Amino acid sequence: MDGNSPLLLLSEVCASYGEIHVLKGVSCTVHKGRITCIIGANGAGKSTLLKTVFGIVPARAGKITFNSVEIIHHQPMSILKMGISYVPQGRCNFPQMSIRENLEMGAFTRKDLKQVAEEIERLYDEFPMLKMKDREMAGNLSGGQQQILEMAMALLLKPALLLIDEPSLGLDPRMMEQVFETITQIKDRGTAVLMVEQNAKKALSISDYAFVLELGRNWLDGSAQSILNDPKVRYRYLGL
Amino acid sequence: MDIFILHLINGITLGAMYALVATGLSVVFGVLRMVNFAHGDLFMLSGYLLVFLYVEKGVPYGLAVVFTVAGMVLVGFLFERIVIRPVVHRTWRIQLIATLAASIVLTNLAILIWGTTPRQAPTILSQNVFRVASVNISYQRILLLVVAVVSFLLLTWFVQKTRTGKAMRAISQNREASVVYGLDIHGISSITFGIGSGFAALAASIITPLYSVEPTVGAMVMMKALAAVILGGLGHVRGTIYAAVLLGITEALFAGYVSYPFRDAAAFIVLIFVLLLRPQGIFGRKVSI
Repeated sequence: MDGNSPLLLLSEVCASYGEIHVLKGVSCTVHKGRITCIIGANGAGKSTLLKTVFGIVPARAGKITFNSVEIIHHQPMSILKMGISYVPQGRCNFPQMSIRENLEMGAFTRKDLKQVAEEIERLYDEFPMLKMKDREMAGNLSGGQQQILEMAMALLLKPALLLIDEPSLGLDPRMMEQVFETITQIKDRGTAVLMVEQNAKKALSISDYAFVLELGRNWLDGSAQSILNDPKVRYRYLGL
Repeated sequence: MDIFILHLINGITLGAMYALVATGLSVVFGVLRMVNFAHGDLFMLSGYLLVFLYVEKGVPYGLAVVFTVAGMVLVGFLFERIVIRPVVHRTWRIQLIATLAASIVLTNLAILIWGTTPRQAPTILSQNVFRVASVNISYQRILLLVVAVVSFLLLTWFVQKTRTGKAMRAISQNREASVVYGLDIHGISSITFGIGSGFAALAASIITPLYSVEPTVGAMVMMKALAAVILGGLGHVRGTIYAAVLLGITEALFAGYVSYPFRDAAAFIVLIFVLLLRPQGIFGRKVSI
């Protein structure tokens, strides 16, 4: 794979919930070693885009390739096995199971249990909070801690690409800081990230590249820095 | 006093039977979020399988129980494949019709094959009694209690410690997350159904020698088990077991002291009162389906 070909490529993707067309021909690319973020107002189709990539919402038209392989009509299970993990919006863990059990479930599709156990130890070193609360039920953690747990669960499948939907939703500023730090850590491990985020300013500050969607269509894209400095974006999305 | 102890022991064994049947219903509800209205018919089929093996083919009782349970686990797998999987993504109304239809088909199939005359399968254990003071307890009832306790301990171990058991809990706690992390929902549902059916078979193969089996025996057992599942809190297995024992004791005491013909009503009177006070069941959290 040469350095220039994108890891994930969406071209003119359309998706709808019944009669409601949410994505009306969206194109975007995600490259290795980068955090790519998608921003836009409510109803722009940000979350739907991630669900369409993961195969939860079927695409009606367009092309989605991952590592140059067409993935558009695949089921979530097969997309997971190809190397894309997904952390959806809201809580996505098993509240009455311990952190360790949650992590084991995160690695459920893997059969090399010994390596999984070793990787859990490595994740514990990377995220000491998880180790400290090893036996705690996931449901008793704070929102931010649960978000970090869910990202760690997704990482156990060693994805090449991690899709994250609204990681900062409902978190206090301090916790939000930690979650974004974790996302940067994930990028440094070599996992590409495609993130959807309501908090545009914060998301752009840790991203490499950004797409701005409006009503199911591409509006702008560019390096995160250039989007952050774009007067139209600053006016519409950053309140500046 | 002796009479009271006798009723109490009858109640506990009755409760153990309901608990075995209700456990199957409860684990299936936990993982698949649907009530299998044919669960009582799996109990009935198990009874006939036991009669066939033990009475007609002369297989030793212990072995007949093992074969009955193993056979019904397989029937559970098949049932999940044929009846449950096609409707698992449909609305609860369609699921209700599918399992209710399966129940009617199985009951009538049993009438066609075995007729309506009750069949019995007495064992040495059911014909002999264990005497304490002036209270007689059939050995079969003691066997039922022992089997119930041992199988609940095994189930607890399975659900807490094994990978498959943990996945069962995971799916019952958050189905959407299970899709996200690639848990094998079909495979786990199949195993869960096998376990549920196996528990019904265990109950039937130990209880049939005490009573008898007929094509409609499943209906009342199913209603009592469902009452225990609702009372214990939907999908809450331990709550279900406690509720089943409570129902069994209530029913036995009601039969002994209030009215024998109306004993079946006792469970439902308890159910109505508990639900008035605690709609989510005694141990349950609120769930929505």
